[in-house]
Amino acid sequence: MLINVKMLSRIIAFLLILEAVMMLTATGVSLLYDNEGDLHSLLLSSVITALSGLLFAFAGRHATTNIRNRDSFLLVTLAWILWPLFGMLPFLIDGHIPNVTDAFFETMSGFSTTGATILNHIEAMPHGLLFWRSLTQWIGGLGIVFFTIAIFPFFGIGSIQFFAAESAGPTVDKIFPRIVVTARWIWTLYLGLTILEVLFLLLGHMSLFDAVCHAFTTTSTGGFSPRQDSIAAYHSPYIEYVISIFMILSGINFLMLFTLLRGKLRKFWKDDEWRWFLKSMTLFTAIITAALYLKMDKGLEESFRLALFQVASLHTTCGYATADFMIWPPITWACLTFVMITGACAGSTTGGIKGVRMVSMGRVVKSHIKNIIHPQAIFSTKFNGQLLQAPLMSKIFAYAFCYMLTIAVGALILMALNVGFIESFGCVISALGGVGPGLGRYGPAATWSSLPDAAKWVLSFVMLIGRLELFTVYVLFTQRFWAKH
Amino acid sequence: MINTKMLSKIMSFLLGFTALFMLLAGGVALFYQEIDTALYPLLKSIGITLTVALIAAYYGRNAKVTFSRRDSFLMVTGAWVVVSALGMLPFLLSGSIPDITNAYFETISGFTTTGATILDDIESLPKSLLFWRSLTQWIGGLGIVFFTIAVLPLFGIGSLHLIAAETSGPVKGKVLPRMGVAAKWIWSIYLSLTILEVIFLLFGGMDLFESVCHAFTTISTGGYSPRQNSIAAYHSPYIEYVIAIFMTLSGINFSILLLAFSGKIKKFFKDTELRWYIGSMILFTILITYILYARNTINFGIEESFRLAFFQVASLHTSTGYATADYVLWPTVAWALLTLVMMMGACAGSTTGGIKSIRLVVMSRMSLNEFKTLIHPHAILPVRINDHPISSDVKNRVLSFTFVYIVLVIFGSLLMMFLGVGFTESLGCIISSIGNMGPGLGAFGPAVTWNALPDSCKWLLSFYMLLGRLELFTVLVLFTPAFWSHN
Repeated sequence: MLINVKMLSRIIAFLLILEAVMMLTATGVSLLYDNEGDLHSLLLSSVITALSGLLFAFAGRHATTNIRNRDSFLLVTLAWILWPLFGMLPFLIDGHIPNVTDAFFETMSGFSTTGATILNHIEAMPHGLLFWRSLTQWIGGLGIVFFTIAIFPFFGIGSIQFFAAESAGPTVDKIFPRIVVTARWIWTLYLGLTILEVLFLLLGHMSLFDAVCHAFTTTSTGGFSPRQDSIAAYHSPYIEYVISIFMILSGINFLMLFTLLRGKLRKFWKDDEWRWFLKSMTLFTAIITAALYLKMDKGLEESFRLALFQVASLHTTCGYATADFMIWPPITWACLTFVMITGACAGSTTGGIKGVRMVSMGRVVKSHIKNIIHPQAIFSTKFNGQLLQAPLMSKIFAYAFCYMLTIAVGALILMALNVGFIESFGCVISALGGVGPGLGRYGPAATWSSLPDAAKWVLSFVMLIGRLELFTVYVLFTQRFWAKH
Repeated sequence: MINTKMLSKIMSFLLGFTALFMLLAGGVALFYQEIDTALYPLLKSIGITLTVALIAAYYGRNAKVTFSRRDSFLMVTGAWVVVSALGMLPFLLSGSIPDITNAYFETISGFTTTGATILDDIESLPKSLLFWRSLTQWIGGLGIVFFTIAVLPLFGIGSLHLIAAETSGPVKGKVLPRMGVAAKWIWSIYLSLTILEVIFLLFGGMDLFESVCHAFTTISTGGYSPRQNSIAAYHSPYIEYVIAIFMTLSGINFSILLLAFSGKIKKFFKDTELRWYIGSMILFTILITYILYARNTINFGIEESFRLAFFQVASLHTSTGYATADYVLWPTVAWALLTLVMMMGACAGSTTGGIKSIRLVVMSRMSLNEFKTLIHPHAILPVRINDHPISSDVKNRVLSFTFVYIVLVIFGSLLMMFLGVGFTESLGCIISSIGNMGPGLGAFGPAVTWNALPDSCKWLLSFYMLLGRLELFTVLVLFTPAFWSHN
């Protein structure tokens, strides 16, 4: 057999049952706030998901455990389609998002940690559903399959393939020889970061429910908020600074954060990608602060705060808003669009092209320019002390090329569906990078509910592609993938 | 070290040629009796240009005949900057374009074969100046430097350096072993295409003057027209088809065209880049024809839709920039497709701008290979162009180019926005300038000139035209410390 269908169904069974359990936690929240009417929809969805899981388990009952490359690409893509498919049930059954297009879009936007919403009255939603909405992002942040690996270590050695197919970044670093151990450590760190943020937000007088929801969507750099006005609703500089800092932290490679925790400050500080992220953050915050201070008549502190928050939010592809940057000068939104495309560090929960790729490409270009002057000399390009080999560079450049091509084609399709020029680009860049707000009419102050249905499906697909770093999905569309040998 | 004396010696030679071409425009002025309006200013310009040339020649009289790599980069960039500076004199002295910013912009837009104009009333210019304007593009067409390829060996310099500097396209299939001979061949093709187009245009009822002007700017894929409304002014489907076909031809690599001219048709059609270019022409023409025909808001017939689409795709694919319609008024998706075409450009080794097909071919094939390696992680798959595997060095060159191209587009648009230009307009003008196109987007689309742009933007865009024309790195290396350091 080409694809190990049985093994795939067995893993999918696990995935779905896990999702049902996650829904049950949302049910718990809904019990706390009674009489909101979302209890039955959450319970029902949970049961449906669990039963479907059992069905898959039955289909895969005599599975052999050999997993190959192809299986992992197919599985990861399937997992990311199935989770939103079942995850949208609570919204649908409850009737708060009555049609399938919107519900699927919202849930995909959740799991892919995009954070673009079609909801125009977020506060009207029951707490249980809002909690579920935030939870989807928290799970999606580090990855559905990754999450499952941490909990059910059933693949043994093979899990590295799944990890690679889902993870963010061109290379898979291993700090522990066993991927399961690494996965657990990273999840612990993730959990710790979330709890820490909840505490800080509580100190800023945010309610426990809001604090938890925001912590979920900050550390996952998702950007869903239980408030329609996002973080702007709180009018609290303290909260804005806290969230900015946690967004930045979540934009750093988790393995690097881990070395920081272990006290290896030097190693952390010398990391090329982190240095790039810091520089880029500083540069764009400075530019936007200046633009706001000089052109918008805002105070210096306010300009800085708004700039820091917005740059952090879009650089880490989180997507919270404290202001509508579409009414700022065009240069600011052009800067913000640029950071949306680059994203933050690999190995974090952010989207975009990512720092390691940007830095590597920049260095190859630099050595190329030197080579033009000295044609006989050989200049080595290194990243974190390691030589950038030709195959890796091909991979990185191919990624960037496909990324740009996807933006161009996606935007063209949206334009063909009668979405405007700036809006099309904004929405596609935002969806592909997992950001949230777009540009023009679909900027941070507006929702995406007025987009045509077809555009929503296209964007849902773009989110999926972006979250799985293009190749995992694209490879399924090549002839060779389905060829016999 | 830079051999300044040698540089100035060559420069004097180039300026001598510039003066000679100005004399040609002077002849036109005499013919049309434009004595005060154009002949005197032209003669004055010739005088100044020759004086500068003589000073340069005097300074470089004892030059050592050495020419390093660095010299050639400086030479190429310097040539474009200086020749444009003197080439603007006729406009300036005649008062047709009174201020320096506009005059320099217009001239460098000519020599870089961009075709963006700041003239709001083109027909009011004396004919001889219009002729000079078109001529700058024709000269720029294959490059002033390329133009002097046949002359440079007189100095005893191997001309291969200069070619490498000017068109750093990835593949150099050596058609003829000696560069000088190749240059002559390419020139005869260039000239015969121009003459052929003049004849075809005369058949379409265009007068001789305008035929020549249009032929100049078609073959060089420049896009200046002596009419304010560009090709749309003639309302002639025949002329539109003729020009569209000649634009398409000019987008082909000249060394490949040479194959066709020498009868090797089979080899001609086997060229990877040519196939890609033709394929992309067909694809985009069909898409835009469909959009124009199917959207009932516009109501074009099928023939008209096709003609408009073919013309516009050819014009922007080859970075010419003629217009038969204001595409900004078409559905968004149509002009977005055209913007994509603008970025792509046609073939390397032609007079077109943009990223160029050969690079896109390499990158697409590399990306496809990446998909294959995902499935077969241990397979080693070479990227082939015309059946030759591409080395990783060439790959890096291609990718660096594209990376820098995109970064420059973003960076330039940011600067334009900083200077107060709108979002779409900034992007459009920058893409158009770096690709040596002509028309932009939004408020600076094909129906309007760029006169309304702030002065600072005009200088920025002039610089971008130069960057794009010299394939980025030729100019960019001058800004690296390594270029000026001693070792």
